[in-house]
This record gives sequence, structure tokens and C-alpha cells, in this order.
Amino acid sequence: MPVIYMLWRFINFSRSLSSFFQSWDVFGLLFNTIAVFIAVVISSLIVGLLISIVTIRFEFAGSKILFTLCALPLVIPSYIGALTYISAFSPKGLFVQLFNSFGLEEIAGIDGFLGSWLVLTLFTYPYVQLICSSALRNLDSTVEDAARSLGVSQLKVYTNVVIPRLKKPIIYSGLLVGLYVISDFGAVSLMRYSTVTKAIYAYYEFSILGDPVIFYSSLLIVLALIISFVQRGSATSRSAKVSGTPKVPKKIKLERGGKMLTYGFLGFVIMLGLIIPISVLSFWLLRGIYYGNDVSSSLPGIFGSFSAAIVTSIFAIIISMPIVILISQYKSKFGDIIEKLMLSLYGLPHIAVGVSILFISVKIFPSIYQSFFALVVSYLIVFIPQAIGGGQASMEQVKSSYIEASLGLGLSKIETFQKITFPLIYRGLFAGGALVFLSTMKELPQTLLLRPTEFSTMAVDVWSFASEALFTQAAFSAFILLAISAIPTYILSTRNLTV
Amino acid sequence: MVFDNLIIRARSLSKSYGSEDVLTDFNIDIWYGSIFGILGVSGSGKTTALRLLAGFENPDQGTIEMHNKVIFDDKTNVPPEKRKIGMVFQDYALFPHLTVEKNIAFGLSKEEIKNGRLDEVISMTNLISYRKKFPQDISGGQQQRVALARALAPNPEVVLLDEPFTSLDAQMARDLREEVVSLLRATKTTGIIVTHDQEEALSVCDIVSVLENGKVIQSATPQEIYLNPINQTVANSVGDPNIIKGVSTNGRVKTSLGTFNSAYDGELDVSIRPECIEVNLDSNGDYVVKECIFYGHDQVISFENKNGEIFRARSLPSMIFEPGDKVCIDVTEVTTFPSKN
Repeated sequence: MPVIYMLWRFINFSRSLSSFFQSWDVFGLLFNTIAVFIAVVISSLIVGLLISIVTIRFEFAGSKILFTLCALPLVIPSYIGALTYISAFSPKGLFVQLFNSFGLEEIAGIDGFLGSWLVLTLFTYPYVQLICSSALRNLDSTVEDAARSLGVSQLKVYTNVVIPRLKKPIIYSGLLVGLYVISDFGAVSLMRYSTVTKAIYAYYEFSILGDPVIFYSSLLIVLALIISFVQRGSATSRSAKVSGTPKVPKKIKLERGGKMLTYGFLGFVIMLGLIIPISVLSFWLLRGIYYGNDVSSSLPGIFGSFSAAIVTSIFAIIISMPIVILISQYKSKFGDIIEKLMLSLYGLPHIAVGVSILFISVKIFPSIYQSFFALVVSYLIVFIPQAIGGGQASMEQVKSSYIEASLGLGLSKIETFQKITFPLIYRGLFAGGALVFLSTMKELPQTLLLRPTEFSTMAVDVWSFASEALFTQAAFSAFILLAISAIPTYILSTRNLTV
Repeated sequence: MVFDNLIIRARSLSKSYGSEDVLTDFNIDIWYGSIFGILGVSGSGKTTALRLLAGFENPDQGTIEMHNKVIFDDKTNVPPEKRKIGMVFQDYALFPHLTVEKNIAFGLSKEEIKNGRLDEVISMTNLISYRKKFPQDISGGQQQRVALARALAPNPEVVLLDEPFTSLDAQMARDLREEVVSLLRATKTTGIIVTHDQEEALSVCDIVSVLENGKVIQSATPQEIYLNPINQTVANSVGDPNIIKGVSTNGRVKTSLGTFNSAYDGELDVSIRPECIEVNLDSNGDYVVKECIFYGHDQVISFENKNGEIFRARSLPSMIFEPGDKVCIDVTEVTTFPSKN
């Protein structure tokens, strides 16, 4: 609804479109967005696929733990990742200070396109890794044996047989990464790389609801809709490919050189994605504590994050429960429409949803402008699919014969819901709600646009301190945010991404 | 066994999904305390019939009465939870989040449990040592017992069993079948078993209804169904007869296995069950053994006449037949039906 409203506003622009294209750097921003989109998708696919193949198909000590360590950067929000890299590798950053005594005075620095590319790759390749490895595990290797027997070398089996068979999960996860990249605001803004999202926020600060804000938000939505449309096309057949019990392939034994190469590669990835960010963050945290920072300045943010996340997740559970039951019990057109509608919410860029809610609150319901209510509504729009996904997964185990058996034993419909349906789905619903809780706590662009004055969250604190280069302050909130969310995020996301 | 009270009477039930008619003019009379079989191939509408009786789906037309009281017609529709009809599902539908004990207690009130009904049912079904286990941790046969116990616990007057033994191996199915039947008899519960297995229907049921394309074509005792099938479909569904085409004049029909009496004149199908053909080794015989499949309790002999037509006979295992042996035959019983086309 908000989205449609905004697109309608977009069509009703007073100025003609051609003047837009002259006055603003539309093509430049679009080019930048698409450039980082393509670059990150390609690099994430390469890194994620390599990790999957190496850890699943090669035999070496510690492959399981290295797999998990490689997937862990998933829990680091892009703005925290960006903060660590920008603070460590700016021209006179931490890295230079560390090696000052060796005569190092200045480095080229990582920012702009390069920085965004690096950071976004590091914190999105785990999606590819998890989705593709799960598909790879389910791949029946008989075809590979057949290829070998026909004289194809081991390496060529991978390029000619294995990777083509992973086409669907590769496209699916690549576009998931792509969706993440074009919607990302935190990393590109800290890296000072001008993309569409960064432009929206810049124009917003200039004039809350100026035409450019609407224009770029609409543009972003259109981009996201195209990507998620293509992605969904590849998703429907994602699970259909698994048939029967797959034959587990023999693991490839590695020579000494091969092992070194494998450890080197995985070690390098873990170094960049996990060790550097965590050590830099720890450094700033300790330095902050040494210079007398304490938790008090982070308290309002912690309080804000928690209150927003609790309220949003509770509402998400309450709203998603009837939807889940509707979708599963009425395989009619109605349930179908609801399901499609919910799916299309997924993948909407947060910043654009934030702008549309902002628009509605300013133009139509001024009373909710900058209210906590508007913020929660905005969170719910983007996160409710997560709650529904959790409930739907568990609703699948409520067979219709369970309901019939219960009715046949003389229980009423309400009793049947209490004793059968609810006990079977509440875990899934709460898991979905927990995911909503975590996502809300980490959400940045919507919160920036819609938060009431004086209201802050940990994510907002991290971002605002980092954009003013107050890294010791930012580290405090970032550390708490990670400490609270890392493990549950990891568990819940891996559960959702693997089959 | 003598039955004198009707418990369920269904008249002119019909049900279609979209343009597909699943049941048309379905009539059924079920005697109180009997075990009633509904036999049919998959797609004949037998499961739909059960679901209509249980109330999980509504007929498009027709009436269902229970104890002479209407439970479904144009005006009345008693919901499933009020019909006092228990059901054992094909996949058992045991609640995965409840223990065996709680599954069985599901349809019982607190008072009934206090009065010992739960313990009674559990010991009746030999499930004492499984009380605290979860359905997914016990074998298929035990799951079947739990499903039956759950259905029987609230003392329903009728229990519907939808292909109850198909997911079990043959030996287990046979054992459980006897157990289930004796339980139903002991508790004087009317049982309606839907099955595609002729042996099951014939061995267990008091009355069998054969269903084809959503219609009951014959309802009778197993003996009657087997010996006097009303048409070829029924004959085929309770046996594996040789069907020979012939033309009858003046009450006699000539076939390649001999000349027989017939009830009709004109084109007809002669149905001869394999067990009604006696085969004996005879060096002057007109027939040649093609194949002999040995089952232990009996054997099936395929033999060929001079025209190359092949027939099957079933005989005791004592005599040994080899392919190529010459044999003579003696047909003890035939059934004739008007030709289908």
C-alpha cells in the first residue's frame, strides 16, 4: 500500500521527467549502484562457491569448523563491517598508526567503490556459501561418476558437471546478495560511495520530501522488484531438484600443496571477514574504556533497540499467526493472493519503505509523523515475511488428517486449535518472531528516517558515531549489538538458508 | 452372525470435485455390530465415501442416517465432532507432539480418564510398555495399534478404517487384522473397512460392498460375492479369473475350455477361476504347460491350447509340472456374464 501510494506520487510529479535527468546525476548514481551490484554478486559467488566446494568435497582436518567460521561474517551488519574497515584502513587509520614505527605514514585507503565492494562482499558471501553448500550436499554424485567413467578429468567434472547442476541455487543466492547490495545503505554511506540509497538519504536531509527523495525511492523499488521477480523464478524449482537419497560422493584427498592452498584460502577469508573486524572493534572498545568511555552513552540506544524489537516481534507474531493458518488451510485463491503479497514485501529496500511511510505520515496522518507507531509499522512491513516463513515451515507438519482426527474424536474447532494446531506451530512462530526481533534491532535506514526525536537504537548510534569518525563511541554500541545478536542470528539464518 | 439393527443408512449420496464425479447414487446399509468392507480399486471413490460418513466432507446430495436419525440431508449437517464416529487414518495421523498415552486420551474427558477408561484401552491394545513414547519412536505396527486405541477410546459406535493395513508388511498386516477384528467384536463396535485388498475384505468382513466408479455394484456376504458375483467387475475384484468370450445358444456356450451351461443366450463372457480348473498330467492331453509358479501352499500353472490361447489354473503343490508337459483339464465351475461390449 505505502509503496503503491508512493509510486502514484511519482507519476504525478510536477516537473517533467527530462528535467530530472538533467538536474540530478541520475545516470551516475544508477551506474554506481549497478557497478557495485555486479561486482559484489560476482565476487560473492566466487568466494561462496569455492568455500562450499572446498569444505564439502575436499578431505582435510578441521573442514567443518572452518566452514562455520567462514559463514560467521553473516552476523555482522554491513555498517559495522564498514566501520571497522574505514577506521583501520583509511589513509591515516589504525593500520598506519600500528606500523608507524616502521616508517609507514600513509596508505591509499579503502573507501568509495573499492571499500563498498570489499565490505559488501565480505558480509554477503555467506549467503551464497550456505545456500549452495546445502544444494551441493543434496546433489546425487552418480552423474559425476558417470562423467568420470566417460573420461572427464576431476577438475573438469566440477566446471562441466557440478557447477552447471548448481545453476539454480547459484542464481538464487546471487540475486539474494544483489538485493542486499542495492538496498544497502550502511556500508555505502560510511564508505562515501554515491549510490541510489545514499542519494535518497542525502536528499532527505536536504529536504524531507523533496521530489528527488520520491524519485530515487521509486527507482530503487523498481530495481528491487525486478531482481526479486527474477529470483523467485529461480526459487520455485530450488527444492524440486532433490530426488531420492543422494549418493554421497567420495571426498577428494589433497596433496600437501593442495592442503596448504586450501588452508591459505580459507584462512585469508576468515581473516578478512571475521578476525580483522572483530580485532579492530575490540581495539576501539578497549581504547574507549581506557579513555573513560562507559556504557552510559550507549544506554538510550540499547533501550531503544530493545523496545522497538520487542514491540515489533510481538506484533509480527500476532499478525502472522492467522496469516499462516489462512495460507495453509485455504489453498484457495485468497490464500494464494496473501502468500504472493507477503512474498513481494520480502526484498523491498528498507530505505524506500521508510520513505513511503514517512510520506504517508507527513501528508496524510500528520499525527503519526515521527511516532514510535509509524516506526513499528514500517518495521512490520519489511520483517513480517520472516515471521510468516517461520510459522509456515512448522505449519507444514500440521497434516489435515490431524485436524480431522481431532474433530473425529469429538473436539470442537477451537479445542482442536488449542490442542493440535497451536502446539505444533508455536515454536516456528516464535523462531520467526525471534528473527524479526534480531532484524529490527539491527535495522538502520528505516530507523534513521522515521525515529522519533530523542529516540535512538544501537544501529543508529553505531552509524552516527562512525560517520563522525568517533570510533571508540561507535565500537561500544557495535560490540553490544554483536554480543546480543551474533549467535541467535547465526543459528536462525543458517536454519532458514539450508534445506 | 445375525444382525437385526441398522446403524447407518446412506441414500443417493453423490459427490463431485469440479467436473469429476467421485460418487454417484451411493447407497449403503450397515448393520449394528457388523464389520463392513468397502472394496474397490484406487479411484473408485471408497475413501471419499468414508469421509462423507465421518463428516469431513459434505455430499452434494443425499441423506445419511444413523440409528434412524438424519445426520446429513438438505437441512441437517451434524459436524464430525458430534457424530460419534471414530476414524483410523491410512497414515494413522498420530499427533507428533503427544505421547502414545496422550494420543489415546485425546478424545476422553478428564472424568473418563479418572474412571480408568484410558488404562483399559491401553491394556486392551497391548500398549502398556509404550505409554510414554512418542509416535515417531515406535514401529509401524505399534502406531497402528495406537491409532485404533485412540479411535476406540471414546466408545464410538462406528469406527471407520481407511486402508488400515496397507503400510505394514504382509505378516504384520495379517496378525494385526485378526487383532483388530477381535477388538471390534469384543467391544461390539461397528467397523467399516475401506480396502483394495480382496483377501482382507473377504477374510475379515461380514458384508462386503464392491465399488466401481463411485457406485456400489454389489453388497453381500463374502461367500456370495465370491461365488455369485453380479458382474465381471465384481468377479475380477475378488479373484483372478480366466475370461473367455463365447456365444450361447439354447443355454449352452461352447468355449476353448469346453462347453458349459449359461444363464443367457447371445454373446457372453465366461469366467473361470483358476482354482476351478483341475489339471492332470496326460501324455494324450490337449494342453501344454507353459509355466508353473510355485507359491508353497499352492501353485499356478499357465497352460496353452492348440490355438495358442493361455489360461491359468491353481492346484495343490503335490504334483510337479514342467514347461512342455502335456496335461488334460477338468473345469468344475463357471460363471457367465453378458458380454461387456
